[in-house]
Amino acid sequence: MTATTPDLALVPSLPRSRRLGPVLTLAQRRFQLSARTPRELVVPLLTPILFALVIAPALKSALHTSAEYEAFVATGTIGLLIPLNTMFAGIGVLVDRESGAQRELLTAPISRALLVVGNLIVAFAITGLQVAVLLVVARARGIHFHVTGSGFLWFLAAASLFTIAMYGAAETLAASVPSAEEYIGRVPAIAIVPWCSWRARCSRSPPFRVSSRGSRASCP
Amino acid sequence: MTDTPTDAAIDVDTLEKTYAGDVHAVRGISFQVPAGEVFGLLGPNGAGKSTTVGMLTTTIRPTGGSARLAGFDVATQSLAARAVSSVVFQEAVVDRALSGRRHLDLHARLWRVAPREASDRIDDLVEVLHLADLIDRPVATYSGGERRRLEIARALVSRPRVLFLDEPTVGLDPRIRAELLDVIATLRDGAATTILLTTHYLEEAERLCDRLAVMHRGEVVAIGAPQQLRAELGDEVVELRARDDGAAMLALLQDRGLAGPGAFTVGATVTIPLRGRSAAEVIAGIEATRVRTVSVTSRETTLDDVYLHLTGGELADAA
Repeated sequence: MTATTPDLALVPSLPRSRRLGPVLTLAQRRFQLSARTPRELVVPLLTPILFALVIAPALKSALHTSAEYEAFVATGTIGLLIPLNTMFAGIGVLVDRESGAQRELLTAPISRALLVVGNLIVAFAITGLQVAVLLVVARARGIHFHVTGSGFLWFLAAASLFTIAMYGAAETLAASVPSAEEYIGRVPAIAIVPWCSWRARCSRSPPFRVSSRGSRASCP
Repeated sequence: MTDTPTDAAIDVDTLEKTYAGDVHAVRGISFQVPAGEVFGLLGPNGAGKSTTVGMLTTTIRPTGGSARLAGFDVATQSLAARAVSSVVFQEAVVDRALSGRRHLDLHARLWRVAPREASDRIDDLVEVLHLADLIDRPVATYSGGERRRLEIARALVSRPRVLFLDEPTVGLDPRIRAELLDVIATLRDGAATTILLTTHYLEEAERLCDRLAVMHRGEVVAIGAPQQLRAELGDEVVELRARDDGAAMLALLQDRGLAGPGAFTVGATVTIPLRGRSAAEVIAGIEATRVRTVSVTSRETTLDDVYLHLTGGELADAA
Protein backbone atom coordinates (compact mmCIF):
# COMPACT_ATOMS: atom_id res chain seq x y z
CA MET A 1 0.00 0.00 0.00
CA THR A 2 1.14 3.55 -0.64
CA ALA A 3 2.54 5.37 2.37
CA THR A 4 1.40 8.81 1.40
CA THR A 5 -1.83 9.94 -0.20
CA PRO A 6 -1.59 13.60 -1.12
CA ASP A 7 -4.85 13.33 -3.05
CA LEU A 8 -6.65 12.71 0.18
CA ALA A 9 -5.66 16.03 1.68
CA LEU A 10 -8.49 18.30 2.70
CA VAL A 11 -9.30 20.98 0.09
CA PRO A 12 -11.62 23.96 0.30
CA SER A 13 -15.27 23.11 -0.42
CA LEU A 14 -16.18 23.05 -4.08
CA PRO A 15 -19.48 24.02 -5.69
CA ARG A 16 -22.14 21.39 -4.97
CA SER A 17 -24.11 19.56 -7.65
CA ARG A 18 -27.74 20.50 -8.10
CA ARG A 19 -28.20 18.36 -11.13
CA LEU A 20 -29.71 15.40 -9.31
CA GLY A 21 -31.25 16.35 -5.99
CA PRO A 22 -31.19 14.02 -3.00
CA VAL A 23 -34.85 13.03 -3.44
CA LEU A 24 -34.28 11.81 -6.97
CA THR A 25 -31.07 10.12 -5.84
CA LEU A 26 -33.01 8.22 -3.18
CA ALA A 27 -35.77 7.37 -5.63
CA GLN A 28 -33.21 6.16 -8.13
CA ARG A 29 -31.66 3.94 -5.46
CA ARG A 30 -35.02 2.51 -4.49
CA PHE A 31 -35.89 1.85 -8.10
CA GLN A 32 -32.59 0.09 -8.70
CA LEU A 33 -33.23 -2.13 -5.69
CA SER A 34 -36.86 -2.79 -6.65
CA ALA A 35 -36.43 -3.40 -10.36
CA ARG A 36 -32.99 -4.77 -11.03
CA THR A 37 -34.22 -7.00 -13.83
CA PRO A 38 -37.05 -6.67 -16.40
CA ARG A 39 -38.77 -9.54 -14.60
CA GLU A 40 -39.16 -7.43 -11.47
CA LEU A 41 -41.00 -4.80 -13.51
CA VAL A 42 -43.13 -7.15 -15.57
CA VAL A 43 -44.32 -9.56 -12.88
CA PRO A 44 -46.19 -6.93 -10.83
CA LEU A 45 -48.11 -6.01 -13.99
CA LEU A 46 -49.53 -9.51 -14.25
CA THR A 47 -51.87 -8.89 -11.31
CA PRO A 48 -54.02 -6.20 -12.93
CA ILE A 49 -53.98 -8.07 -16.23
CA LEU A 50 -55.16 -11.18 -14.43
CA PHE A 51 -58.00 -9.30 -12.81
CA ALA A 52 -59.13 -7.67 -16.02
CA LEU A 53 -58.81 -10.63 -18.38
CA VAL A 54 -59.52 -13.61 -16.19
CA ILE A 55 -61.05 -12.90 -12.81
CA ALA A 56 -63.65 -10.30 -13.86
CA PRO A 57 -65.09 -12.38 -16.71
CA ALA A 58 -64.99 -15.52 -14.57
CA LEU A 59 -66.90 -13.83 -11.78
CA LYS A 60 -69.41 -12.48 -14.26
CA SER A 61 -70.03 -15.96 -15.65
CA ALA A 62 -70.09 -17.63 -12.26
CA LEU A 63 -72.50 -15.14 -10.80
CA HIS A 64 -74.61 -14.87 -13.99
CA THR A 65 -74.52 -11.08 -13.85
CA SER A 66 -74.59 -8.45 -16.55
CA ALA A 67 -71.69 -6.78 -18.29
CA GLU A 68 -71.71 -4.06 -15.69
CA TYR A 69 -70.13 -6.45 -13.22
CA GLU A 70 -66.88 -6.50 -15.22
CA ALA A 71 -66.81 -2.75 -15.00
CA PHE A 72 -67.41 -2.96 -11.28
CA VAL A 73 -64.52 -5.40 -10.88
CA ALA A 74 -62.23 -3.23 -12.99
CA THR A 75 -62.71 -0.15 -10.87
CA GLY A 76 -62.82 -2.15 -7.67
CA THR A 77 -59.51 -3.77 -8.54
CA ILE A 78 -57.87 -0.37 -8.49
CA GLY A 79 -58.92 -0.07 -4.88
CA LEU A 80 -57.18 -3.37 -4.19
CA LEU A 81 -54.06 -2.72 -6.24
CA ILE A 82 -53.23 0.52 -4.53
CA PRO A 83 -53.18 -0.68 -0.91
CA LEU A 84 -51.57 -4.04 -1.69
CA ASN A 85 -48.86 -2.52 -3.86
CA THR A 86 -48.03 0.29 -1.48
CA MET A 87 -48.14 -1.91 1.59
CA PHE A 88 -45.78 -4.43 0.03
CA ALA A 89 -43.51 -1.58 -1.04
CA GLY A 90 -42.99 -0.97 2.68
CA ILE A 91 -40.96 -4.17 2.83
CA GLY A 92 -38.14 -2.18 1.28
CA VAL A 93 -37.91 -0.16 4.49
CA LEU A 94 -37.48 -3.34 6.50
CA VAL A 95 -34.86 -4.63 4.10
CA ASP A 96 -32.96 -1.36 4.44
CA ARG A 97 -33.08 -1.65 8.20
CA GLU A 98 -32.00 -5.28 8.31
CA SER A 99 -29.21 -4.77 5.77
CA GLY A 100 -27.93 -1.74 7.65
CA ALA A 101 -28.35 0.55 4.64
CA GLN A 102 -30.83 2.66 6.57
CA ARG A 103 -28.10 3.73 9.00
CA GLU A 104 -25.99 5.09 6.14
CA LEU A 105 -28.98 7.04 4.85
CA LEU A 106 -29.74 8.41 8.30
CA THR A 107 -26.25 9.92 8.49
CA ALA A 108 -26.64 11.71 5.16
CA PRO A 109 -27.01 15.52 5.27
CA ILE A 110 -30.61 15.43 4.08
CA SER A 111 -33.94 15.76 5.81
CA ARG A 112 -35.11 12.41 7.14
CA ALA A 113 -38.48 13.04 5.51
CA LEU A 114 -36.80 12.79 2.12
CA LEU A 115 -36.05 9.12 2.80
CA VAL A 116 -39.80 8.50 2.87
CA VAL A 117 -40.44 10.73 -0.14
CA GLY A 118 -37.83 8.93 -2.21
CA ASN A 119 -39.48 5.58 -1.52
CA LEU A 120 -42.93 7.05 -2.10
CA ILE A 121 -41.96 8.25 -5.56
CA VAL A 122 -41.12 4.72 -6.67
CA ALA A 123 -44.15 3.16 -4.98
CA PHE A 124 -46.35 5.81 -6.60
CA ALA A 125 -44.82 5.24 -10.02
CA ILE A 126 -45.14 1.45 -9.91
CA THR A 127 -48.70 1.67 -8.59
CA GLY A 128 -49.57 4.19 -11.27
CA LEU A 129 -48.13 1.86 -13.89
CA GLN A 130 -50.26 -1.02 -12.62
CA VAL A 131 -53.42 1.11 -12.62
CA ALA A 132 -52.67 2.33 -16.12
CA VAL A 133 -52.10 -1.23 -17.35
CA LEU A 134 -55.36 -2.32 -15.75
CA LEU A 135 -57.32 0.45 -17.44
CA VAL A 136 -55.70 -0.23 -20.81
CA VAL A 137 -56.37 -3.96 -20.61
CA ALA A 138 -59.91 -3.35 -19.37
CA ARG A 139 -60.48 -1.05 -22.30
CA ALA A 140 -59.11 -3.65 -24.68
CA ARG A 141 -61.39 -6.20 -23.04
CA GLY A 142 -64.34 -4.12 -24.14
CA ILE A 143 -65.07 -1.92 -21.16
CA HIS A 144 -65.55 1.67 -22.28
CA PHE A 145 -64.76 4.40 -19.82
CA HIS A 146 -66.70 7.51 -20.68
CA VAL A 147 -64.44 9.93 -18.99
CA THR A 148 -65.57 13.38 -18.01
CA GLY A 149 -63.12 16.13 -17.14
CA SER A 150 -64.23 16.41 -13.56
CA GLY A 151 -64.53 12.67 -13.22
CA PHE A 152 -61.00 12.12 -14.43
CA LEU A 153 -59.62 14.74 -12.08
CA TRP A 154 -61.62 13.25 -9.23
CA PHE A 155 -60.25 9.83 -10.03
CA LEU A 156 -56.65 11.11 -10.24
CA ALA A 157 -56.93 13.01 -6.99
CA ALA A 158 -58.60 10.15 -5.17
CA ALA A 159 -56.17 7.54 -6.42
CA SER A 160 -53.15 9.76 -5.69
CA LEU A 161 -54.25 10.59 -2.18
CA PHE A 162 -55.16 6.96 -1.57
CA THR A 163 -51.68 5.87 -2.72
CA ILE A 164 -49.93 8.44 -0.55
CA ALA A 165 -52.05 7.56 2.48
CA MET A 166 -51.48 3.85 2.09
CA TYR A 167 -47.75 4.30 1.64
CA GLY A 168 -47.75 6.38 4.80
CA ALA A 169 -49.42 3.47 6.55
CA ALA A 170 -46.77 1.17 5.10
CA GLU A 171 -43.88 3.28 6.39
CA THR A 172 -45.55 3.57 9.80
CA LEU A 173 -46.08 -0.16 10.03
CA ALA A 174 -42.52 -0.91 8.84
CA ALA A 175 -41.12 1.37 11.52
CA SER A 176 -43.09 -0.36 14.26
CA VAL A 177 -42.64 -4.08 13.51
CA PRO A 178 -39.36 -5.89 14.14
CA SER A 179 -39.34 -8.29 11.19
CA ALA A 180 -40.44 -8.72 7.60
CA GLU A 181 -42.43 -11.83 8.52
CA GLU A 182 -44.58 -9.93 10.97
CA TYR A 183 -45.01 -7.12 8.47
CA ILE A 184 -46.18 -9.45 5.72
CA GLY A 185 -48.61 -11.10 8.09
CA ARG A 186 -50.31 -7.79 8.81
CA VAL A 187 -50.51 -6.49 5.24
CA PRO A 188 -53.65 -8.30 4.00
CA ALA A 189 -55.72 -7.21 6.97
CA ILE A 190 -54.61 -3.62 6.60
CA ALA A 191 -55.03 -3.56 2.81
CA ILE A 192 -58.52 -5.09 2.74
CA VAL A 193 -60.16 -2.36 4.84
CA PRO A 194 -59.51 0.56 2.46
CA TRP A 195 -60.38 -1.64 -0.50
CA CYS A 196 -63.85 -2.20 0.91
CA SER A 197 -64.20 1.54 1.42
CA TRP A 198 -63.06 2.19 -2.14
CA ARG A 199 -65.61 -0.21 -3.54
CA ALA A 200 -68.37 1.23 -1.40
CA ARG A 201 -67.45 4.73 -2.51
CA CYS A 202 -67.34 3.65 -6.11
CA SER A 203 -70.79 2.13 -5.86
CA ARG A 204 -72.33 5.32 -4.44
CA SER A 205 -70.76 7.95 -6.70
CA PRO A 206 -68.80 6.60 -9.63
CA PRO A 207 -65.90 8.82 -10.73
CA PHE A 208 -66.72 8.12 -14.36
CA ARG A 209 -69.27 6.17 -16.25
CA VAL A 210 -68.27 2.84 -17.65
CA SER A 211 -69.91 0.51 -20.09
CA SER A 212 -69.10 -2.65 -21.93
CA ARG A 213 -69.81 -3.22 -25.61
CA GLY A 214 -73.37 -2.36 -26.63
CA SER A 215 -74.57 -0.97 -23.32
CA ARG A 216 -73.95 1.90 -20.98
CA ALA A 217 -73.89 1.32 -17.30
CA SER A 218 -72.76 3.09 -14.19
CA CYS A 219 -70.42 1.54 -11.77
CA PRO A 220 -72.97 -0.09 -9.35
CA MET B 1 -25.57 29.76 18.03
CA THR B 2 -22.53 30.21 15.81
CA ASP B 3 -22.23 28.70 12.34
CA THR B 4 -18.49 29.25 12.16
CA PRO B 5 -16.17 26.35 12.94
CA THR B 6 -14.43 26.33 16.29
CA ASP B 7 -10.93 25.00 16.93
CA ALA B 8 -12.20 21.68 18.25
CA ALA B 9 -13.37 19.35 15.52
CA ILE B 10 -15.34 17.39 18.11
CA ASP B 11 -16.57 19.08 21.26
CA VAL B 12 -18.54 16.92 23.70
CA ASP B 13 -19.95 18.45 26.87
CA THR B 14 -21.64 16.29 29.54
CA LEU B 15 -23.25 14.17 26.86
CA GLU B 16 -25.58 11.52 28.14
CA LYS B 17 -28.03 8.90 26.95
CA THR B 18 -30.55 7.18 29.15
CA TYR B 19 -32.88 4.59 27.70
CA ALA B 20 -36.30 3.54 28.98
CA GLY B 21 -36.05 1.53 32.15
CA ASP B 22 -33.42 3.90 33.54
CA VAL B 23 -30.64 2.33 31.48
CA HIS B 24 -27.70 4.76 31.51
CA ALA B 25 -25.78 3.97 28.37
CA VAL B 26 -23.68 7.15 28.47
CA ARG B 27 -23.30 9.15 31.66
CA GLY B 28 -22.35 12.76 31.12
CA ILE B 29 -19.08 12.39 29.20
CA SER B 30 -16.94 15.32 28.07
CA PHE B 31 -13.96 15.57 25.75
CA GLN B 32 -12.59 17.75 22.94
CA VAL B 33 -10.74 16.61 19.86
CA PRO B 34 -8.67 19.16 17.93
CA ALA B 35 -8.73 19.15 14.15
CA GLY B 36 -6.49 16.54 12.56
CA GLU B 37 -6.18 14.32 15.63
CA VAL B 38 -6.92 10.61 15.76
CA PHE B 39 -8.89 10.10 18.95
CA GLY B 40 -9.80 6.71 20.32
CA LEU B 41 -12.65 5.52 22.49
CA LEU B 42 -11.35 2.39 24.20
CA GLY B 43 -13.54 0.03 26.18
CA PRO B 44 -15.29 -3.32 26.13
CA ASN B 45 -18.67 -4.02 24.55
CA GLY B 46 -21.36 -2.23 26.50
CA ALA B 47 -19.08 0.60 27.65
CA GLY B 48 -21.04 3.18 25.65
CA LYS B 49 -18.70 3.69 22.69
CA SER B 50 -21.17 2.96 19.91
CA THR B 51 -23.89 4.92 21.70
CA THR B 52 -21.52 7.89 21.86
CA VAL B 53 -20.82 7.56 18.14
CA GLY B 54 -24.53 7.25 17.49
CA MET B 55 -25.19 10.53 19.26
CA LEU B 56 -22.35 12.31 17.48
CA THR B 57 -23.61 11.06 14.10
CA THR B 58 -27.21 12.08 14.96
CA THR B 59 -28.63 8.58 14.68
CA ILE B 60 -29.29 8.52 18.43
CA ARG B 61 -30.86 11.46 20.23
CA PRO B 62 -29.00 12.52 23.40
CA THR B 63 -31.00 12.82 26.58
CA GLY B 64 -28.62 15.38 28.06
CA GLY B 65 -25.59 17.52 27.36
CA SER B 66 -24.40 18.71 23.98
CA ALA B 67 -21.95 17.89 21.22
CA ARG B 68 -20.56 19.77 18.24
CA LEU B 69 -18.86 18.63 15.07
CA ALA B 70 -16.73 21.37 13.50
CA GLY B 71 -18.81 23.85 15.45
CA PHE B 72 -22.23 22.51 14.44
CA ASP B 73 -24.49 21.30 17.23
CA VAL B 74 -25.58 17.71 16.56
CA ALA B 75 -29.02 18.32 18.03
CA THR B 76 -29.96 21.75 16.65
CA GLN B 77 -27.81 21.83 13.50
CA SER B 78 -27.95 18.15 12.64
CA LEU B 79 -27.94 18.63 8.85
CA ALA B 80 -24.80 20.76 8.99
CA ALA B 81 -23.17 18.34 11.42
CA ARG B 82 -23.89 15.40 9.10
CA ALA B 83 -22.58 17.36 6.11
CA VAL B 84 -19.11 17.64 7.66
CA SER B 85 -18.87 14.03 8.85
CA SER B 86 -18.97 10.45 7.67
CA VAL B 87 -19.26 7.13 9.47
CA VAL B 88 -17.97 3.62 9.00
CA PHE B 89 -20.24 1.52 11.19
CA GLN B 90 -19.36 -1.61 13.05
CA GLU B 91 -21.98 -3.65 11.21
CA ALA B 92 -22.22 -3.97 7.46
CA VAL B 93 -24.09 -0.98 6.04
CA VAL B 94 -24.48 -1.77 2.37
CA ASP B 95 -27.00 -2.55 -0.34
CA ARG B 96 -25.79 -5.98 -1.36
CA ALA B 97 -27.40 -5.81 -4.78
CA LEU B 98 -25.63 -2.63 -5.81
CA SER B 99 -22.07 -2.38 -7.09
CA GLY B 100 -19.27 -0.79 -5.11
CA ARG B 101 -19.09 2.08 -7.57
CA ARG B 102 -22.80 2.71 -7.15
CA HIS B 103 -22.33 2.95 -3.39
CA LEU B 104 -19.59 5.56 -3.81
CA ASP B 105 -21.65 7.47 -6.34
CA LEU B 106 -24.71 7.46 -4.08
CA HIS B 107 -22.72 8.79 -1.17
CA ALA B 108 -21.26 11.54 -3.35
CA ARG B 109 -24.71 12.60 -4.52
CA LEU B 110 -26.29 12.58 -1.09
CA TRP B 111 -23.40 14.62 0.30
CA ARG B 112 -23.77 16.92 -2.73
CA VAL B 113 -20.26 16.49 -4.07
CA ALA B 114 -19.88 18.07 -7.52
CA PRO B 115 -20.02 15.41 -10.26
CA ARG B 116 -16.58 16.10 -11.68
CA GLU B 117 -14.96 16.11 -8.25
CA ALA B 118 -16.89 12.97 -7.27
CA SER B 119 -15.64 11.12 -10.33
CA ASP B 120 -12.00 12.06 -9.68
CA ARG B 121 -12.35 11.35 -5.99
CA ILE B 122 -13.84 7.92 -6.58
CA ASP B 123 -11.03 7.03 -8.98
CA ASP B 124 -8.43 8.13 -6.41
CA LEU B 125 -10.03 6.15 -3.61
CA VAL B 126 -10.44 3.04 -5.74
CA GLU B 127 -6.72 3.16 -6.46
CA VAL B 128 -5.58 3.95 -2.93
CA LEU B 129 -7.79 1.32 -1.31
CA HIS B 130 -7.12 -1.34 -3.95
CA LEU B 131 -10.72 -1.71 -5.06
CA ALA B 132 -10.15 -1.67 -8.82
CA ASP B 133 -10.92 -5.37 -9.27
CA LEU B 134 -14.06 -5.19 -7.15
CA ILE B 135 -15.60 -1.84 -7.72
CA ASP B 136 -17.99 -2.79 -10.49
CA ARG B 137 -19.14 -6.04 -8.88
CA PRO B 138 -22.18 -6.33 -6.60
CA VAL B 139 -21.23 -5.90 -2.96
CA ALA B 140 -22.81 -9.29 -2.23
CA THR B 141 -19.71 -10.86 -3.82
CA TYR B 142 -17.26 -9.05 -1.53
CA SER B 143 -15.43 -10.60 1.40
CA GLY B 144 -15.63 -8.97 4.82
CA GLY B 145 -12.35 -7.12 4.41
CA GLU B 146 -13.22 -5.95 0.90
CA ARG B 147 -16.56 -4.68 2.08
CA ARG B 148 -14.93 -2.80 4.93
CA ARG B 149 -12.45 -1.15 2.54
CA LEU B 150 -15.39 -0.11 0.36
CA GLU B 151 -17.13 1.39 3.39
CA ILE B 152 -14.01 3.39 4.24
CA ALA B 153 -13.78 4.58 0.65
CA ARG B 154 -17.42 5.57 0.74
CA ALA B 155 -16.97 7.55 3.92
CA LEU B 156 -14.06 9.45 2.37
CA VAL B 157 -15.79 10.40 -0.90
CA SER B 158 -17.22 13.55 0.65
CA ARG B 159 -13.87 14.60 2.23
CA PRO B 160 -15.35 14.73 5.72
CA ARG B 161 -13.85 16.97 8.35
CA VAL B 162 -14.71 14.32 10.93
CA LEU B 163 -14.56 10.60 10.21
CA PHE B 164 -16.05 8.08 12.62
CA LEU B 165 -14.70 4.54 12.58
CA ASP B 166 -16.83 2.37 14.85
CA GLU B 167 -14.92 -0.83 15.61
CA PRO B 168 -13.63 -0.98 12.03
CA THR B 169 -11.75 -4.28 12.34
CA VAL B 170 -14.08 -6.32 14.53
CA GLY B 171 -14.93 -9.72 13.14
CA LEU B 172 -12.13 -9.70 10.57
CA ASP B 173 -9.38 -12.28 10.46
CA PRO B 174 -5.89 -11.20 11.59
CA ARG B 175 -4.48 -10.73 8.10
CA ILE B 176 -7.37 -8.55 6.98
CA ARG B 177 -7.19 -6.64 10.25
CA ALA B 178 -3.53 -5.90 9.68
CA GLU B 179 -4.23 -4.67 6.14
CA LEU B 180 -7.06 -2.48 7.32
CA LEU B 181 -4.92 -0.98 10.06
CA ASP B 182 -2.41 -0.08 7.37
CA VAL B 183 -5.19 1.64 5.44
CA ILE B 184 -6.36 3.58 8.45
CA ALA B 185 -2.79 4.52 9.32
CA THR B 186 -2.49 5.88 5.80
CA LEU B 187 -5.53 8.06 6.42
CA ARG B 188 -4.03 9.57 9.55
CA ASP B 189 -0.70 10.22 7.84
CA GLY B 190 -1.97 11.80 4.66
CA ALA B 191 -5.14 13.71 5.44
CA ALA B 192 -6.20 16.51 7.77
CA THR B 193 -9.42 14.70 8.64
CA THR B 194 -10.16 14.29 12.32
CA ILE B 195 -10.77 10.65 13.12
CA LEU B 196 -12.70 9.25 16.06
CA LEU B 197 -12.04 5.54 16.38
CA THR B 198 -13.80 3.18 18.74
CA THR B 199 -12.17 -0.12 19.54
CA HIS B 200 -11.54 -2.72 22.19
CA TYR B 201 -8.29 -3.85 20.54
CA LEU B 202 -5.27 -2.49 22.35
CA GLU B 203 -2.90 -2.67 19.41
CA GLU B 204 -5.28 -0.59 17.31
CA ALA B 205 -5.51 2.07 19.95
CA GLU B 206 -1.77 2.17 20.56
CA ARG B 207 -0.87 2.16 16.89
CA LEU B 208 -3.40 4.64 15.54
CA CYS B 209 -4.50 7.03 18.26
CA ASP B 210 -2.88 10.31 19.26
CA ARG B 211 -5.04 10.31 22.36
CA LEU B 212 -7.71 8.07 23.68
CA ALA B 213 -10.49 8.01 26.23
CA VAL B 214 -11.05 4.89 28.29
CA MET B 215 -14.75 4.21 28.73
CA HIS B 216 -16.33 2.00 31.34
CA ARG B 217 -20.06 1.60 31.96
CA GLY B 218 -20.93 4.80 30.17
CA GLU B 219 -18.26 6.97 31.75
CA VAL B 220 -14.88 8.24 30.65
CA VAL B 221 -12.46 7.08 33.32
CA ALA B 222 -9.25 8.41 31.74
CA ILE B 223 -8.12 10.54 28.81
CA GLY B 224 -4.62 10.90 27.43
CA ALA B 225 -2.05 9.69 24.97
CA PRO B 226 -1.43 5.93 25.14
CA GLN B 227 2.09 6.46 26.46
CA GLN B 228 0.86 8.94 29.03
CA LEU B 229 -1.79 6.56 30.33
CA ARG B 230 0.73 3.74 30.59
CA ALA B 231 3.21 6.04 32.30
CA GLU B 232 0.80 6.48 35.19
CA LEU B 233 1.48 2.85 36.03
CA GLY B 234 5.14 2.98 35.08
CA ASP B 235 6.94 1.31 32.19
CA GLU B 236 6.95 -2.16 33.72
CA VAL B 237 4.80 -4.36 35.89
CA VAL B 238 5.38 -7.58 37.76
CA GLU B 239 2.65 -10.12 37.24
CA LEU B 240 2.23 -13.18 39.41
CA ARG B 241 -0.32 -15.93 39.49
CA ALA B 242 -1.24 -17.16 42.92
CA ARG B 243 -1.99 -20.79 43.75
CA ASP B 244 -4.66 -19.67 46.15
CA ASP B 245 -6.56 -16.43 46.68
CA GLY B 246 -5.16 -13.52 44.63
CA ALA B 247 -6.74 -10.88 46.85
CA ALA B 248 -5.20 -12.38 49.98
CA MET B 249 -1.81 -12.50 48.28
CA LEU B 250 -2.10 -8.87 47.23
CA ALA B 251 -2.95 -7.86 50.79
CA LEU B 252 0.09 -9.74 52.04
CA LEU B 253 2.40 -8.12 49.48
CA GLN B 254 1.06 -4.69 50.29
CA ASP B 255 1.63 -5.38 53.96
CA ARG B 256 5.26 -6.25 53.21
CA GLY B 257 5.70 -3.06 51.18
CA LEU B 258 6.19 -4.97 47.91
CA ALA B 259 2.98 -3.76 46.24
CA GLY B 260 1.78 -0.16 46.25
CA PRO B 261 -1.80 1.15 46.21
CA GLY B 262 -1.84 0.94 42.40
CA ALA B 263 -1.51 -2.84 42.42
CA PHE B 264 -4.62 -4.81 41.48
CA THR B 265 -5.84 -8.35 41.23
CA VAL B 266 -8.08 -10.13 38.75
CA GLY B 267 -8.94 -13.59 39.90
CA ALA B 268 -5.69 -15.33 40.83
CA THR B 269 -3.50 -12.86 38.92
CA VAL B 270 -1.85 -10.01 40.82
CA THR B 271 -0.34 -7.12 38.85
CA ILE B 272 2.13 -4.79 40.58
CA PRO B 273 3.11 -1.54 38.77
CA LEU B 274 6.80 -0.96 39.40
CA ARG B 275 6.79 2.83 39.00
CA GLY B 276 10.53 3.07 38.67
CA ARG B 277 11.48 0.21 40.98
CA SER B 278 13.59 -2.66 39.78
CA ALA B 279 11.73 -5.78 38.67
CA ALA B 280 14.51 -7.98 40.06
CA GLU B 281 14.21 -6.31 43.46
CA VAL B 282 10.45 -6.81 43.63
CA ILE B 283 10.62 -10.40 42.41
CA ALA B 284 13.33 -11.18 44.96
CA GLY B 285 11.17 -9.71 47.67
CA ILE B 286 8.20 -11.80 46.57
CA GLU B 287 10.27 -14.98 46.60
CA ALA B 288 11.55 -14.13 50.07
CA THR B 289 8.00 -14.09 51.39
CA ARG B 290 7.65 -17.73 50.25
CA VAL B 291 4.13 -17.08 48.99
CA ARG B 292 2.68 -19.87 46.88
CA THR B 293 2.74 -18.80 43.23
CA VAL B 294 2.28 -20.50 39.89
CA SER B 295 4.43 -17.98 38.03
CA VAL B 296 6.14 -14.62 38.49
CA THR B 297 7.11 -12.51 35.49
CA SER B 298 7.86 -8.93 34.55
CA ARG B 299 6.70 -7.26 31.36
CA GLU B 300 5.89 -3.88 29.81
CA THR B 301 2.80 -2.05 30.93
CA THR B 302 -0.11 -2.35 28.49
CA LEU B 303 -3.35 -0.48 28.07
CA ASP B 304 -5.09 -3.54 29.45
CA ASP B 305 -3.25 -2.94 32.71
CA VAL B 306 -4.41 0.67 32.60
CA TYR B 307 -7.97 -0.44 32.02
CA LEU B 308 -7.87 -3.07 34.76
CA HIS B 309 -6.37 -0.55 37.17
CA LEU B 310 -9.09 1.96 36.40
CA THR B 311 -12.08 -0.34 36.19
CA GLY B 312 -11.25 -3.77 37.55
CA GLY B 313 -12.45 -5.36 34.30
CA GLU B 314 -10.56 -6.71 31.29
CA LEU B 315 -10.92 -5.27 27.79
CA ALA B 316 -10.67 -8.66 26.10
CA ASP B 317 -13.38 -10.26 28.21
CA ALA B 318 -16.25 -8.94 26.13
CA ALA B 319 -14.48 -9.15 22.76
